[in-house]
Amino acid sequence: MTTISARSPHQRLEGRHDTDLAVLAAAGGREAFGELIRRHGSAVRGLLRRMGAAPDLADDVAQDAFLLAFEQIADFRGEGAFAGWLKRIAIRLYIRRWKRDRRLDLMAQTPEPEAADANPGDGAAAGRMDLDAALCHLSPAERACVSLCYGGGLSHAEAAEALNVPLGTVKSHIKRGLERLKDRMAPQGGLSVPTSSGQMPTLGRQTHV
Amino acid sequence: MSECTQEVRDFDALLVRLFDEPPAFADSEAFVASVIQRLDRRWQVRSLVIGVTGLLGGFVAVSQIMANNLVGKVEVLSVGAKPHLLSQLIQSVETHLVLPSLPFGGEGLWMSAGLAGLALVFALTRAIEEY
Repeated sequence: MTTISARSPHQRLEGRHDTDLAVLAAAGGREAFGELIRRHGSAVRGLLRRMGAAPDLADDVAQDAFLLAFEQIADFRGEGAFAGWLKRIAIRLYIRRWKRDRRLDLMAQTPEPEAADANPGDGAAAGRMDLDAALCHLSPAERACVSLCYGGGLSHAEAAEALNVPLGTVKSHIKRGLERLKDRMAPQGGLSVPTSSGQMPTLGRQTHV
Repeated sequence: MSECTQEVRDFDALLVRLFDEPPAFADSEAFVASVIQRLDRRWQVRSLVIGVTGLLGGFVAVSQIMANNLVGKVEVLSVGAKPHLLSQLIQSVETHLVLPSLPFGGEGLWMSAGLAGLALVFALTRAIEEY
């Protein structure tokens, strides 16, 4: 008697590398692309929300990003991480939407009153380590720049190009944003970073400001 | 000074690590299903557009060929050829198939058969890609 293996597409594909799945998807394999959505959906949605998008808008843009990625998947050559390629598509779409809605005017952005009143001494250490909560205390411009560079993997120059603002503007937004994040997130008495390998993660072509 | 630089690096490392950890969404599966549904819908619309365009194109092509009596002209050009394959084929079809009610001749029948064949190939190709 023959036993038919009734494994779901997710079970069949979960061991495959992103690049393999992208190749399958480029050949029209929607199950493979479904697995890629399953793997990276939360990361893309999370990045967009961290950039400041409202949940509905973030999900909408994330969906559009996946649809566009499926259209353009033949362009993905596996030279970098699929997640990075996908995030860049999502970032591009979000910034386009942002500009279309005339909400992106980084030159005119000023810190929100909430951020100005921020009291870094409040809350427990665990609370201060919450990135998403801390990001809420940044101005939209700072939040976007920090998320683009640290979450989207863009260099400062790439972020400036994406946002169509001078490089210096991006650098200053990031500098102020990092200072605020640090105030919010660093435990009293200094920052302790648990490292597993002792190796510092790299930030692409990013430079410290 | 170096302590300060180290602290900046540590904070950078912390941020990169935190940004790399995507938040957990309760509706992850619903999101996946929603994107796949939109993909399917897009593909269905595209298939429909391709099908309708092909049908219209085929209709125009057949009507043009019939209006210009292309088959007749080819027959005239190949009158010296041996054997008169096309005319024999048409004759054969006319002999064996009795279709007096059709408003067109043998050439229309052949064109329709050709288009049907193309449609079948297209359908088969799609089926193979899908399954």
